[in-house]
Amino acid sequence: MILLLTTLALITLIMINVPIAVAIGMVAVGGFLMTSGTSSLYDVAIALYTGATSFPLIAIPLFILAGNLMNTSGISVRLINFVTSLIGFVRGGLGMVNIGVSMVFAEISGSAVADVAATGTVLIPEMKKRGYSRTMAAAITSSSASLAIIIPPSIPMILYGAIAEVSVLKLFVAGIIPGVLGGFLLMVVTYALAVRYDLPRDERFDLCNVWRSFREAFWALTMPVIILGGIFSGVVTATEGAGLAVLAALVIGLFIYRDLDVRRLRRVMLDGISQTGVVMFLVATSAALGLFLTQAQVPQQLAAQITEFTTNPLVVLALLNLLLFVLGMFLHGAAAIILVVPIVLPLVREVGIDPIHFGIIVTLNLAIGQQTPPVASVLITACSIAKAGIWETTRTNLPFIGVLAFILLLVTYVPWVSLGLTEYLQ
Amino acid sequence: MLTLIEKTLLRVVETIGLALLLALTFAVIYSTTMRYFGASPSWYDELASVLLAWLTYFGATYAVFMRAHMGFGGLVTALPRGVAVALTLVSEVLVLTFFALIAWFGYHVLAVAAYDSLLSLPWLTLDIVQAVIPLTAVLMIIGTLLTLPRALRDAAAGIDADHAEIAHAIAEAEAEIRQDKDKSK
Repeated sequence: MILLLTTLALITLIMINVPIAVAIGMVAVGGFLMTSGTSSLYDVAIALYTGATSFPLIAIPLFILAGNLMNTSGISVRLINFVTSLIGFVRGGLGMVNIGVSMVFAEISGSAVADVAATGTVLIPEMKKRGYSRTMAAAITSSSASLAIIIPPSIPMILYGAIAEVSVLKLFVAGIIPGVLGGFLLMVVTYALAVRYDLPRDERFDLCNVWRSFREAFWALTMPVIILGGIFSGVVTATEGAGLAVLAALVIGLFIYRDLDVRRLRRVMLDGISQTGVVMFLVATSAALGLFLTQAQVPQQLAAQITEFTTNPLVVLALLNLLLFVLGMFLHGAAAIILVVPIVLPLVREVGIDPIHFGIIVTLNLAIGQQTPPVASVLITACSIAKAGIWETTRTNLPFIGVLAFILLLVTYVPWVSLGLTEYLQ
Repeated sequence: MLTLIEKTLLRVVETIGLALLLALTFAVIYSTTMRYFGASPSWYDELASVLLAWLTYFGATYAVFMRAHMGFGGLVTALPRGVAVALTLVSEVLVLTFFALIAWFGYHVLAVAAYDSLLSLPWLTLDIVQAVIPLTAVLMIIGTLLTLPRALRDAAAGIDADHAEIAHAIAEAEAEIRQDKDKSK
């Protein structure tokens, strides 16, 4: 009953365009006022503060800053050139370059929109110039950028890790196989479509060219090495890796490529502050709502009610996938994670689903959610760069969404795909 | 006059936000370095968490001034203009009420917080660190009021914040590319 009322209140507030974070906070305030009187609002104020102090979340502003720095300091462009020289000679090569680059770059900063804008404005016009249709260029960019949500570093995974109290490193590692496999399948689909529509090869394979673009991209390539290598090898934690990434991006942007100046740096930092504020304010108000729902025993009751009906993890996962898919159509990724995970986690644990496994399922659902209108910020951004209609692009996008859905089902029903590699962690 | 107040306040919020982001980045890099020398600073965990909370709320305040908070404007913009403006007013009043409640209760809880402090930095009492809640709640009220005319105008013109954000991000990225091209000429 409480869950129903809470949901209705939330939907109403969000529908009349109250910012989602404020809507969540208001529902918490309303709930506390109705159940335990005004004195409980002191608890809300405290929860709003402590909700924003969660230690693992420190990685968020730093990754956001590193991502924004990479987008403006010439690192992205050089990486794109290098990858083009490597695989541009294949039919549909530019599309594959797009997939490769998007998977590394997208979702690195706090704003999926800004990331797609950064890589898309370089690659989409180029693709159109070489004969790709508008919808094709938009669909490839959009779907690969969304898949990147499970390739570390990923803000949604850090959020999930903090909320579910599981290791962010394990989540990152669990995303490797589904991410790489998904990227490969997206490339296969691109190749198939390229053959069918007779898309051009980009440029001939030329070792000199590879060497030249490698030398130019050398410092840019240290970024993924620092971030991924450092974190996966256990040399640094996710937060420390984020700090080093900022330092590296600063040094590269200011002193090596010199594409960064003080004015740009200020702009990039302010963007980062705003993006951090948006995501973290959601986290904080959700902590207040979480406090209310837990005191009202809502997550536990939900778990009890569903387990009464079924304890089969496969059925529960199917139900959760359905819920997340519908939510993903209407909510932005971060908001969906922050809202839903605390409520369904007791259920997930009770039927014996590994929370790391569930984390990958949640993030993959959000990736699909970014592709399904009406709220599909990544798709809409790619479409507006390509000047393509959203619905006609969605038609072209169907085989790519199919790949994402296939990966989701694979991850859901074959736990090894996500959990296999985590067993090698100490 | 109002524009001047908005500009000045925005500049103040920006400066504090920048200082906090720099401080947090520095704290993380410094403690990472020190950990390698086997001397992790004891204050790191606590202070970094406090910095994160402050950055969160000043970032959220900045986002209020920029009207950048996530929302779902699709339905309201699809409605007839009059209804859209009326609903926007309702939503703004609700937002202001929320921040007012938070400012009031956030302020009155400080008296209790004064008896506690950070473990690693005993001179830093919790009323100081938690003051960020009422402080930014008041700033967010002012920010909402100052940007209200713009929000109403957008509602009357049927502009959706999501689309505005996307257009802005693309314009920025395109400006970057142009700048790079000019440089390489």
